[in-house]
Amino acid sequence: MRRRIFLKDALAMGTLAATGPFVPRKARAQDVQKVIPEPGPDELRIIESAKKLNKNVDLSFMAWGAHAKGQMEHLAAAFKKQTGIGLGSIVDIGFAALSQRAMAEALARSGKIDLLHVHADTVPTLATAGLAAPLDDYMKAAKFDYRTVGTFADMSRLEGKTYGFVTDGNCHIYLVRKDILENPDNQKRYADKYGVRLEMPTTWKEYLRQGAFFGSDPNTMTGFGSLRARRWGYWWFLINYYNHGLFPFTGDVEPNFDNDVAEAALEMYLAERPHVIRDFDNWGTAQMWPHVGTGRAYQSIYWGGLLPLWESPEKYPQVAGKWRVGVVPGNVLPDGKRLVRTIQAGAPLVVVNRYAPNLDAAAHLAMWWTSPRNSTYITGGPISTVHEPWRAEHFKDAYNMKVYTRPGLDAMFLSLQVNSPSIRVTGALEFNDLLDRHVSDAWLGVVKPREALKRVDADWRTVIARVGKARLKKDIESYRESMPTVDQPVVS
Amino acid sequence: MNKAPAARKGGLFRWGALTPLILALGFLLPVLLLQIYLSVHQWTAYLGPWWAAQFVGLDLFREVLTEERFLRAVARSFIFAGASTLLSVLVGFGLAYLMQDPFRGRSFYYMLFIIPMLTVPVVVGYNFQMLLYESGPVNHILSLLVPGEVRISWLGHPVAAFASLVLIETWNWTPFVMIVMLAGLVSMPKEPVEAARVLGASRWQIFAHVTLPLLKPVLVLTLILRFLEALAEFPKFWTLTQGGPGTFTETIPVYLYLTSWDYFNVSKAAAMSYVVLLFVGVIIYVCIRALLRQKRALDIMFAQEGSGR
Repeated sequence: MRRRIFLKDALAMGTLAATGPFVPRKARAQDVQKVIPEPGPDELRIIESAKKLNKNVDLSFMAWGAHAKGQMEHLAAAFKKQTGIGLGSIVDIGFAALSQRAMAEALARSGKIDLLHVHADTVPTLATAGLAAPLDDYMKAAKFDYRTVGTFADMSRLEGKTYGFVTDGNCHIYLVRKDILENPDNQKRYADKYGVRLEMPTTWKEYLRQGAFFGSDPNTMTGFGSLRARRWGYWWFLINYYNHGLFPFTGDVEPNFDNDVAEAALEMYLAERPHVIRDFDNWGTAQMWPHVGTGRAYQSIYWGGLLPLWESPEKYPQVAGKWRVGVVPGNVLPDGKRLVRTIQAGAPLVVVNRYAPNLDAAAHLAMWWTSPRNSTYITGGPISTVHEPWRAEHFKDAYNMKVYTRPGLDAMFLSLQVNSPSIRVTGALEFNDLLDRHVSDAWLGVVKPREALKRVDADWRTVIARVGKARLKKDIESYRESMPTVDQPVVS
Repeated sequence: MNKAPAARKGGLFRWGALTPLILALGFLLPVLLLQIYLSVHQWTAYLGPWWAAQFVGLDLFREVLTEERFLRAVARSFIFAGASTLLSVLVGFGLAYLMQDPFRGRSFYYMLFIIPMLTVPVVVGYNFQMLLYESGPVNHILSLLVPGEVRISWLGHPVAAFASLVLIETWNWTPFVMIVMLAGLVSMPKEPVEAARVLGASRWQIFAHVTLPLLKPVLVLTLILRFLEALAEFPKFWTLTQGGPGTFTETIPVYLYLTSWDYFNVSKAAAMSYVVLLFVGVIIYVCIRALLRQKRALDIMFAQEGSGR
């Protein structure tokens, strides 16, 4: 008996000892964790509409696991209780393989997957392939309010129809090391050298100059902490490209890269190279995060969702509390207009499988997830969130304010207003990859910038011929609609 | 009376031998036929069903064979496969040679040497990615060995990235060569070596004039298998470089993957596959001819030795 009591006590003590150190941290995360919100008018309308379907189904969701786990699961369980429509299984797919698996499903037409997470720029391809179902009728039935900051929602639209809903405001913000920027010695040295005050850059020229200044010895500090890897780097080129007021297609569906302005944009992109370490030439996000987090980059343009990670004293004490954040610098066009453009990169969107036997139920669950209150519950996470804010409501949420900080949320809000998509037409993956391929070669110095752009044009022409100009013309109209409507963000 | 069961037996044997072949053909043929169909039609997966694709004849083959990107990918693949095969055969043969005679701890070394081969290629890729950072363990160790700080960008510099992949492939598959060569060495007849030793041949002479010729069939087979395996290597390229930096490590499998699963240009990928199949077929044919020549030479040698006795 005494032995059993001893063993029980020992077990309890052991458990406490093992978990004890984690309890306060976990509790800290929990105390700011939101509870599932009470349904508001929007949510109630979705519930009412879903009840009319009179279904009792458990849907399957092919998603990047990190996205679907947690809040989305909790909400699906709540929806199940209310309507009988829930989530049965999650097929966990790697972030980089989402598009391929979605296309495989489009070809298989199995209907076994009801909901799919996809990248926003693949919507035209998936709609053309017949996989993504238009959701407008369901939206109308539930009077679904699908609005985002800026034109973010338009990334899920094609020819006026809505093919999915955003679940993550993946938008690039600008981060600069406040401690370096505000250091009096640095300010003096900088002013002495350039005759201008050292302050947060608002032009690309100033951004590049500061990067060159602080990244003069990349082995100790790099001037820039943005990606240049094959398959990812072109997103950052597109930021420069859009900032020059350019659009990738001309009115008659011809590629628009082989010109002086695009060359200037590419030169701007390439100007970072002397001030980064050589590993950058082939680095992906997994390598870049700790690089920036351990204080080896003066400034960076990256997903706003990384801010909680880099502001975490537990994860990255080297840089926590040392960031100033905002929107990317802008460019003054020849007509004197100042233009600011940032980019959405890999924004997951929930689409509904047209071949799913429970298409209507799936559409309702997708709306449920992205409704104003529920999507607020989904956004945020204690560290390195993969659900960044995108609705106006998300920016007023107390929890998000704790996770992202007020300046962080402001930076995201401003950035979303001038957020542009990557190439989003039918065949997007091919267009994007061909662009990336030649930009990568230019980054290495294997080809001259203009030659790289000529090659982009040449390669794109073959894709345009294959996809067909008539189809692309319609896609391009939708693409243009998803571009920002303001030249620079408006502080509200 | 006796002939009927014998004929039945012969028939059974024939069918027994033919059935797997027929099953294999039945399994493979539809795929091969579909691939032929796709390679002469222009089908992009998202633009419509494959049966409605436009007939383009041999246009895609022409496009593939005249495309600089494809030819560069072929050249990279052949250089990669050739270099990694040679290195792994050299090292693997060396290890097998050292391991052929029993010694204390032989099993331990055997186990140790085959670990790389048992590691999943994707895991190999991710592990080496961590080892090869500019500020990673490999450069750190090198810095301890040489004066000054070593800062090689193993995966960032085009040549270094390609060389790294060759070395990683060599590390991964040398054990395979070692196992095959060891089996060859162990099963080799001892008499010719003994005879050479009695006749006063040096170790090098025995190796060069007796062991190596006897092992040639195994060696050629190992070279073929290793070369073909390396030619098809994809996981390491994808996990480590994804064809980069720039386009320096874009090999045939990488380009094939991009064409079929990024561009969804299935028809072009089918045509590319057939062209690659043709290249590989030629290589195998040449190697098998060489193998047969070796076998014939050995048969003649043994026959002459036999008649001499």
